[in-house]
Amino acid sequence: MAATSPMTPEQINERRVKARRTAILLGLVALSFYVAFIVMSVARAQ
Amino acid sequence: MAHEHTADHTHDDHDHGPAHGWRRWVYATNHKDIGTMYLIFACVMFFVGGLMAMVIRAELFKPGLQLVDPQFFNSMTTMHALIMIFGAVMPAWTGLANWMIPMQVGAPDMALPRLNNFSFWILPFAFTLLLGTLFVPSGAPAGGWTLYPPLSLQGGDSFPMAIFAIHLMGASSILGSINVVVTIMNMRAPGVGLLNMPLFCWSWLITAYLLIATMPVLAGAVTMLLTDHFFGTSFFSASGGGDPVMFQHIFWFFGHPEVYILILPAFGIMSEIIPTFSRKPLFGYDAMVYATAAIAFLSFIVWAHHMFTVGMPLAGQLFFTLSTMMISIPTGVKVFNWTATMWKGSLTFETPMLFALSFLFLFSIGGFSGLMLAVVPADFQYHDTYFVVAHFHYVLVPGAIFAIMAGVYYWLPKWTGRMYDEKLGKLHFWLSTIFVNVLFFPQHFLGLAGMPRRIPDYSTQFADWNMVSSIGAFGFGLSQLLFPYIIWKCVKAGEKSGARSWEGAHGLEWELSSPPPYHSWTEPPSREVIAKGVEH
Repeated sequence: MAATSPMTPEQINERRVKARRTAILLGLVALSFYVAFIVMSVARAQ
Repeated sequence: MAHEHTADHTHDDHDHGPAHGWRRWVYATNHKDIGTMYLIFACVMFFVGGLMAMVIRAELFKPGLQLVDPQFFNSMTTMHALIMIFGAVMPAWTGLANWMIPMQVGAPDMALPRLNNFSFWILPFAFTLLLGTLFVPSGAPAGGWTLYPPLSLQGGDSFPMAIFAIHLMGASSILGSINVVVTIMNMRAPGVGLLNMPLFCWSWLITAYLLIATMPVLAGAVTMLLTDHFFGTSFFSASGGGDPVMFQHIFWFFGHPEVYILILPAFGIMSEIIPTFSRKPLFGYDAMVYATAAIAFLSFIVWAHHMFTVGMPLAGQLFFTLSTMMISIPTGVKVFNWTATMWKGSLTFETPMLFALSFLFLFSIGGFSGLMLAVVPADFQYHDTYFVVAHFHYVLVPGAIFAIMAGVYYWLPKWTGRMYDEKLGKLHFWLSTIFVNVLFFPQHFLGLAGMPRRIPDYSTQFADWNMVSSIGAFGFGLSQLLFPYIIWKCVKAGEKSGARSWEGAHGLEWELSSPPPYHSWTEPPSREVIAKGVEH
């Protein structure tokens, strides 16, 4: 009684792609913060 | 029933139960298993960090050096902070997020289960490394959790171990946060909108963004410490043209949002518990979401209030004072809304609600002393005294830790399918609330009288309140032993609980059986279930 119709394989795949894309984007954001603060410190030290 | 729903619709890759033996835990990809591991890990670290706090308070029981040497005392203060922040509170929040977010948004699991496993299993290695510093000849790090150079650079063999451990903790937090954001943004069931999902999910979504933005900043700072120590750079060394104060700016750019990382999920839990035990919808749901976002934004522009005594231009002092004070506005909105939720409600006072009420009062005390510290001339007086210690412990112990306990008591019947012993829960609450005040309230007096923090010995004028504080610490520490006992007793012999363990509870998690099936929402819940579950 509780469930809606199951998701189609296409919908599941699309969700998987979107999830992967969001994860990569967030990983890049984190990496850019890491690099930016080091670069900023290098620039300031010169 | 929801249990039937999950049992009726089997998927090729979802109809299996848990693996058996150690494989279930080492190879875990199920959000509930990983959530359980996070919570157990946090509990163990809470007691390890607590034991260090007992050493600190035992040494400070009376003036003079009696139990440990000053170097070890400093190691205890440093390690206590690192373990409580990164080992106890943050993993506890991640554990709660793992357990609850998929169930609350109608998802079968976290979006990235293998990454989830990896995020958790980094932690035991990180903390083994950190605790391993206690056994190296130079001793554990003793320069404070803030790792200010040049003192932290003199740490000997423990220095690179601590830095590597901090990198690992940071990586674990970032990966866990990415998983939370991806789950909430991509895995919500149709009908679970951003503005009708539970506030615990909202507070965690915002916390995750904070973590993704700030943990790399800490990682950058400690990487630079490492290169200063081993590779001849001079980022923070004045003798090489570097600037030690820059480390403080970078550290606190991470450090202040970190405070909100520790407390925002607590706000989410309060917004779950207070409506349940008031039997009323939450007052001002939208305002709560915007207030959380406002607090998160402001947390990025207040960092230098930790550094007033370092010296800064008047404009800087004014800016950081005012921006800090502005945080009290969205925080006040929250306290007002929780109070308004209780107004004319049919209140009952089970253990989660008692902890929530205690949070409300005692966290507010920590907030008010924070406002005092935001005032520059006053901060010059209070800086590095026990007043600051009292302030942040009021925020973190009856704030973050009470909220974690409230959350555990609240959802324990859901997780285990059994009720905990309410009498013992209340005993735990009363002992915790009494002793936490005996422990930390006198520290306000000590700080105002001028007692510096991070010292193993002190002038005899501070003796009485230190003794009271230490008695409170021993009482608080002992009373926490009740917590794992209550959980163990609940799991082993608690009375059976129904799907909706609390009369006033709302949320998709309560639409599932107690305990929930191994895979919760293998198919998205129907609109009717969502309407029933997420009404505010």
